[in-house]
Order: sequence, then C-alpha cells, then structure tokens
Amino acid sequence: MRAVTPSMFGATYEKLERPEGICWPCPTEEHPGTPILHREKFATADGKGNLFGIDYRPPAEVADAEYPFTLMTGRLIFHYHSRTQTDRAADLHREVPESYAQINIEDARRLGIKNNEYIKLKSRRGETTTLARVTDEVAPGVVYMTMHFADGVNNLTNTVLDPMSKMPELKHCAISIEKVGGN
Amino acid sequence: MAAKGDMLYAWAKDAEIQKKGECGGAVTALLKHALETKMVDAVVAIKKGKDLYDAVPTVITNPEDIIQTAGSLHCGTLLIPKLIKKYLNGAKDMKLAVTCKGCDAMAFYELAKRNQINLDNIIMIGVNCGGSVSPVTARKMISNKFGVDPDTVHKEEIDKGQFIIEYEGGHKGIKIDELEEEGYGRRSNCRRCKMKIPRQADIAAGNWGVIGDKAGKATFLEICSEKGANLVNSAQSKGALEISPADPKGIDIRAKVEKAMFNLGDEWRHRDFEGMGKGKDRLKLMMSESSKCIKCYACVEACPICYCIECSTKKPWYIAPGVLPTSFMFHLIRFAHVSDSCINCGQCEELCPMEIPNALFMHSQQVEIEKMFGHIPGQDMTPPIHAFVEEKAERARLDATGTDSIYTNIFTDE
Repeated sequence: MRAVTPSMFGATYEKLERPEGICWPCPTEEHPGTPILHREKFATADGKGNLFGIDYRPPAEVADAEYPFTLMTGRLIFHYHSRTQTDRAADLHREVPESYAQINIEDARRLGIKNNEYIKLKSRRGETTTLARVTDEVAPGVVYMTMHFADGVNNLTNTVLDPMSKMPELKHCAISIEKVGGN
Repeated sequence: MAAKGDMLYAWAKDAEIQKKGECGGAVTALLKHALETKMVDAVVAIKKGKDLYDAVPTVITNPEDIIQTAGSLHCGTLLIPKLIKKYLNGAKDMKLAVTCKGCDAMAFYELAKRNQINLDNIIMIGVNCGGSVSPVTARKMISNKFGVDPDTVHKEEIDKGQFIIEYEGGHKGIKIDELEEEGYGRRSNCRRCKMKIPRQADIAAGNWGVIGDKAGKATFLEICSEKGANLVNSAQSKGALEISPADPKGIDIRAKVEKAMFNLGDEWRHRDFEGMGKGKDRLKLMMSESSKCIKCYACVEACPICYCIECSTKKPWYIAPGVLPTSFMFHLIRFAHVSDSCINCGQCEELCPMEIPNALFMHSQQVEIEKMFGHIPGQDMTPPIHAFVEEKAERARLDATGTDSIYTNIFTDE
C-alpha cells in the first residue's frame, strides 16, 4: 500500500506498531511524520496561506409554504453508515434500533406530535414514516434525521450537485410533517 | 520443608531462568514447575509483545514457553482475573497458576465472592508491586525527561524510589517523586494503592528484603498458604528451586519498605481526594467530568466488581437509550453497585477513551464507605455490604427508626 501512496511511503509497519503511530505525510522511511501540517510556511509559491471570502449562496432547495421545514440529515454516535457492522452489536442496536427525526418542542406542540410517535415526512422526492424525538436540540423550523436507516431518509433527500465541489446536497432539503399517530 | 508463614530467599536452579527472571527467577521457576508437574493445566502471565511497553496477557500450556514471561514489565497495566472470568470460564474447569500484582490478588477475591471465579483451581503467585506505568506515558517520560529514545531501552525497573532505565549506551534513574510532580510516573490509582505485598495470594514474592550476597540474585518469598507451601516444597525437592531462610535484618527492611510505600499511598490519597473538594463541589466535579462519557462500556467490561448479565445501566427506565450526553444516572448506578467493593485497580480510568477519572471517583467513595462500615475489599472472602434481608423484618426495622433516612449517621460527622 505504501509503495503506491507517496505521501505515506514512510509509514512502515514498524512505525505503525508504536503506541504513538505515525501522522502522514511521511514520504520517506527516515521522515518522522507530520503531526502539524503547516508550521513555518504554507505549501504555496510564496509560502503564505491564501484566505478569501465567500458570498453566501443559499442551498438549492429551501423551506417554503408547501414544504415549510428544513431537514438536516446526519450521523449518530451509536451507528456507522448503514449499520452493516454497528447493528450487529447488541448494545449499539439497543441504543438506536430504528430511525428517528428530532423535531423542536414548539413545532411538536403546534402539530400535536408527542415524543416517540410516528410521523410522516414528505419532500418533492418522496415520503417516509419515522419516529419523532421531541427535543430542544434543534431550532424551531428545523428537523434532524438520522442517515443510518435505508428505509426512509433517502426518499426525501435532494441529489442536486454543488456547483464547485460536485457534492450532492444530501444533508439539507425542504420537508413537510404530518401526524401518523400511534407509538 | 517450608510452611505457611515462612519467609525465604529463593532462586531458580536453571541458569537461563536465573538470568532472564527477576532476582534469580524464583517466580518463573515456580510457574514452570507447577506446569511441568501438572499441578496446573495452564499458566496465565504477562509477556513482552512488540516491545518493552507492550504487555500481553498469555495462557501457556507448554512449560518451555514459560521463559517468555520472565522479567518484570512495569507497563503491564492490565488486570488478569477479569480476563480469566471472561475467557477461561472463570477457572471452573481448569487449574491455573497466575502471577498477581496486588490489584490482581484483590480482584480474584472480589470475583470469587460473586461466584465468577473458582479460587480452588487457582494458584496465586503474588508479586510486590510499587505501581505500573501506562505505555504512552512511559515513552513520553523516557523521551522528554530522560532524553532517551524509548526504542533503545532494553530494561526498565522501579527500585528504591527511582524509575531506572537501561538503554544502548548507558543507564539512568530519576526519582519517582520528581517524575510524578510533573505528571509522569505511575498511574494515578497506583499512587494511591496500599496493597503492596499481596498476602492474600498463596505466595508473596518480590525483591524487598533480599540483602547480603544474595542481593539481586534471589527473590524474597513469603509463604501465605498451604497451597503455596506445597508448591515451594515440590519445586525445591524436585530440583527446580533453591531456598534458604530469609535474613532477619532483610525481613525488617522489607517491612520498612512496605511501610514507606503505605505512607506514600496515604500522601497521594490525601492529595487526590482533597483535590476533589467536598460536598457539592465534589459532586459538580464528578458530574461535569462524567458528562464526557460516550457509553463505550469499557469501564463495565473491565471492572472486576461488575458481573451482571443484565446490567442495570441498560434498563430504559433508568437511562433512555440513544441519548447523549450520557445521563449521570449511568455513573450513579456504577457508584451504587461498585463503590463498597472498589479495589482501586484503575482499569475503568486506564481504559476510558474520554479520560474520565473514574477510578479517582469510585475510590474516593470506597474510602468513605470503609470508614463508615469497616469493610475492606479484596482481602479475603468476607462478603460485601449489600446483603439479602427478609423483607418484612427489614421493613419493620426501617419503620422503627422513625426516619426515612436509613442510616442516620451518614450526613453528619460523628
């Protein structure tokens, strides 16, 4: 592996087996590794770092009258990706056995939604049913849903690409919320 | 013929064991003899893994392999008995000989009290322990304080209050006090430890008290049980071990060293516990540090007092699942169930990925409970404070106190 990765060529097994490990770039076997990347100067022509301002550009899809909530998708500490490994661990499965979406206390009160009841989320792409977790950890108008469960969040998300990085805008889209009822 | 209570100097007959082992290799010789004569089915001890800083627990069934465990490893910060409970079925169906630091010996008894280990199947060879050093701390200390490349060190030792290293090109010793003032040195719990000579084992072995021409060439053995006496006598009569009575002056010196270590332990206890504050301040400290918890369960898995198959911390009516920061209730449950029996082995703190001072917190409670109830964990089979009661009789007793505070002398100093 290190033969085909020049910036890690110096990361020998011998170095890796020390408790301190080795920080890349480590281009040669004598190189001590690079815990701090830019010290005396940056890796630019004149050695100075370039800072530039960015104008605010809103996401491709923002909340509106039809889909009045902003959905954020994201990770939980208890699971990794699609849970192919973490859901096989009994304790991690016990902590988070199914998908949920955090909804703000005021929004929940207004919509008559109780903690741990099922709600239906809809977007321009589709819809899904998930558990509601009523909390003050998200602001009013915002919903945070876990990305770890195949049956759900992907029905809602928006795959439009960012013009510069070409990353799909999967972490942010507009949704509506309905009560389904029952726990 | 050695008997329980005897104090001896002992050394291996075999030249290789004498050389590779500490102080004449008596412990290594005893382990090999126990295995060779089939007194035990296996030996559980520590051997050097990748390097001097990598202590690997190992189960040995071939007597020729025992030599791999010879020599001390002060970075051996692990606790063996819980590993035996988890992976060797608690020694229920095999006989084992095990080297034990003070904390290992205490852990064996606490596990046995809870039916997790069959002590009848274990020969405990206790070793004096001045404390262990975490591997990364040891390497940083050798690099920064000793100015030596840790990879060039081939022997480390703690002797006469100094941490001493031998490396390619020389050797150097620095006083432990000086190292610990700067945050290096032994693990925090080790500094507070007062189980220096583990007499609850079958044999207590070490180098304190070996004086005269045998100094550095013999191990001091205190025979603590009949089992220990049988092992020593068998090893001696079959030519694996040589023994001679310990020099009375040496016995005195050993007692003095033990006392000095106790005093050091007391000083650190005073310092560590005073540093936590009292009352609400102490509680605030515990709550804020414990809020870093990510529920990795390393503390529960490693703790010799924790053994429940259905852990109370996993009941959703105590602690809502999937919620972070972890509720302080998690730690309160640990405190409630463990603190009367905490042996200050330090595993909970050593293994915590969030560096919560778990052992400090648990130990600080254990010392208070010991003051109140007089129960000392890890010494023998005395059961812990929690006890079965007959419900009606106990309820009547509580009613009769006229208060809903079960013990009326807890919150006031008497």
